[in-house]
Amino acid sequence: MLDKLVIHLKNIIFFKLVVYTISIILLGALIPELQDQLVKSLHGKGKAEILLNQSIIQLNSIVEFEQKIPEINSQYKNLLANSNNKICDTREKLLNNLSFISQKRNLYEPIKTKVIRVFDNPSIQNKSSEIALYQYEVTINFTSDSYGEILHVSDDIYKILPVGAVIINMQIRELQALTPAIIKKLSTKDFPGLIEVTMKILLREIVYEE
Amino acid sequence: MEKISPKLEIANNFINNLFPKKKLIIFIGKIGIRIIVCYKHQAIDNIFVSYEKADHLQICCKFLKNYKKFQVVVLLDSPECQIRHEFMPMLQSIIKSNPIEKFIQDNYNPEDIIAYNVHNIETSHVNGEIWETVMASSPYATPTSQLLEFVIYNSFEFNGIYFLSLELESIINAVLAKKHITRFQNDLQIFATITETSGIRIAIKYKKNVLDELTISFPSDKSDLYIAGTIEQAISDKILKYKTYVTSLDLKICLIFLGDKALCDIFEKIPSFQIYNIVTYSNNSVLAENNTSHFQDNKLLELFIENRKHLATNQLLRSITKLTTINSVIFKPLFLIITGIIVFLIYLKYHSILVQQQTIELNNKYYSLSEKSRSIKKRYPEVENISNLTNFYNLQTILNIKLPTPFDSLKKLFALNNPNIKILNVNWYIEDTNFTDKKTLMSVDILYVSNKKDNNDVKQVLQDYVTSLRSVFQDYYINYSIEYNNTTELLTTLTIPVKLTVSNKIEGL
Repeated sequence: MLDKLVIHLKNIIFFKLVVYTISIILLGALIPELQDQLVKSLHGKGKAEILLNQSIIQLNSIVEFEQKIPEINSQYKNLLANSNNKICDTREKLLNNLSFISQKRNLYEPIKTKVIRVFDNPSIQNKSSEIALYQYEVTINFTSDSYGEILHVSDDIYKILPVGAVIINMQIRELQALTPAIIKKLSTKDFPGLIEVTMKILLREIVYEE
Repeated sequence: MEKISPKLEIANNFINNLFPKKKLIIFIGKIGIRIIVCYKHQAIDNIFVSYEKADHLQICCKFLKNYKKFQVVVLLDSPECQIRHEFMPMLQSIIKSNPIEKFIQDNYNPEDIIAYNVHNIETSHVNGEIWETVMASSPYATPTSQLLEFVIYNSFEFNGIYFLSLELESIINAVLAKKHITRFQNDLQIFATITETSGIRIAIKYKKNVLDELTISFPSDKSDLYIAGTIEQAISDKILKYKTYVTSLDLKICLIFLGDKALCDIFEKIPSFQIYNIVTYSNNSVLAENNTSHFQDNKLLELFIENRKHLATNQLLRSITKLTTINSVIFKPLFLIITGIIVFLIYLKYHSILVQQQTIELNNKYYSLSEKSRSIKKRYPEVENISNLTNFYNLQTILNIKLPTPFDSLKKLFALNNPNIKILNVNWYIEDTNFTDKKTLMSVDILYVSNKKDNNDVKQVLQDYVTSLRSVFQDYYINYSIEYNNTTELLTTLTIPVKLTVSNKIEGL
């Protein structure tokens, strides 16, 4: 009688082992699925938070400028019409004016200018918007023989800067030795300034990107 | 016939210790059957059924059914149980085999239930070893067979079968351990107790060897003194029997009595025993024995369950014990693993649902804001894209913010005229690249040039210069360091470079 029982017990153990193994496998397979669901939910929540924050900022802005909407809208339409031309015009005008300052201040050498497009998107810009902020770094170099003149020239430059431009750096360096480049520039009539000035200006322009 | 492997037994004990110990002990004695229910080695319920009752098996089975989830241990002390001492020689061989297995195969039926205890292995012989063994056996017969089959077929957790004759060795040791007595371990120990199931049980033990055992009927209708006298007589007979043995080994005799308080007191005062070491252990169990307080079945079984050692078996029982042990060892941890996984899955799902609810709330807020935005847009139909217009307005607002320029700072710096200080380099910049802050920093390299070479004079001039700087840059932090290492000293002049930093910290935009 007990020999049948041994077989019966073996069967029970085998059956339990199979059931437990299948359960563990099935439950184990569910873990990545549920983890994936959780990650997706968190991702969705993150997106919703960003959208909500943008929406709050937008609504606050709209409420703030609601009275000025007609005026802003006309400026906006103007931007749509002249967006591309405006950028070039601004830079061309700035370069002309700098040349004019060199003449006006009777500088030994004309003001040197270098313009570089900055492709880094500033954090203040809404990346999903068609309204973008273009940035150009303008490096201006000139020499002078006194700090007073430097202040005058710099002041003149600041006055001709377009709206949105910002001086990010200004270096003034007094030359301590004659370099071959300076010696070449020497003449009997005049002498080059021994104080070198470098100004870095960031031009920021609003443009419409289609 | 093998015993269960030690590893499996260790694992089984570990699992049993991890989970609460709920055990049923079926004590099949010479007079009847006692079943006790143990929880954490304490008897919580019991029943005694005499063989005189025709339906004694049915009564036992009915009682067992109340405790179906308990592990069942069977202790055999039926009239058919026998013990036998054997000396088994084992010749030296590369392959070591257990000589007892061979002996059992040759001398017993495969169905017989057998347990053994190798109490000594004599290794002093030249040609091998001699295993000194005590073996207990019982035929697989009623009532043992019927009870076992009932237990196993009704899905009780069968946890093994043992012989009282062999377990008395560990029970005696346990009594001495509980009394914290170690000095009588090498004495000839004579143990006596009274059980309802088997009557008066007397066992003689030397070290690990149960030399002899004896059962005498319990005179239930007699006085305590009569009972004590009966036990005294039986023990005296045994002492007489083992007198030569004791003398030849120069042993002392220790009498151990497990009984109630009254009998223990009488036992301790028996005059003829005063020359021996006497240890009495009275039962303090909260569960009273049936009819009389003399019976020590419960205490005996509690001691047994705590200290059981020699698992008995026959071929089929061995398989059954092994299988039930495997069942217990494997499936409890597996059950825990599955429970753990389910809890983890529930946690994941709950967290996921929670996040989804939060997302829905955020979306609802977003839609309500969008609705407000749309209502404003409706008031201005000429606006094509309110979102672009907003961004345009925001950027315009930012671009129109007046940011700091270097001119004011430079004017202040150049205005400070000090004949001994020469400005070499000025570097002004806005620290924050996103212009959300108006923090600026100006570093200035100046040179102290003078014919005053005295250190105090130098310090004074520089200190005066910094003081005047601080007076014109009142909202700024000014730090300076004098680079004495780069000092140039000529015949008439002393030149020392100094680095200055002027920084401001103004509220953000």
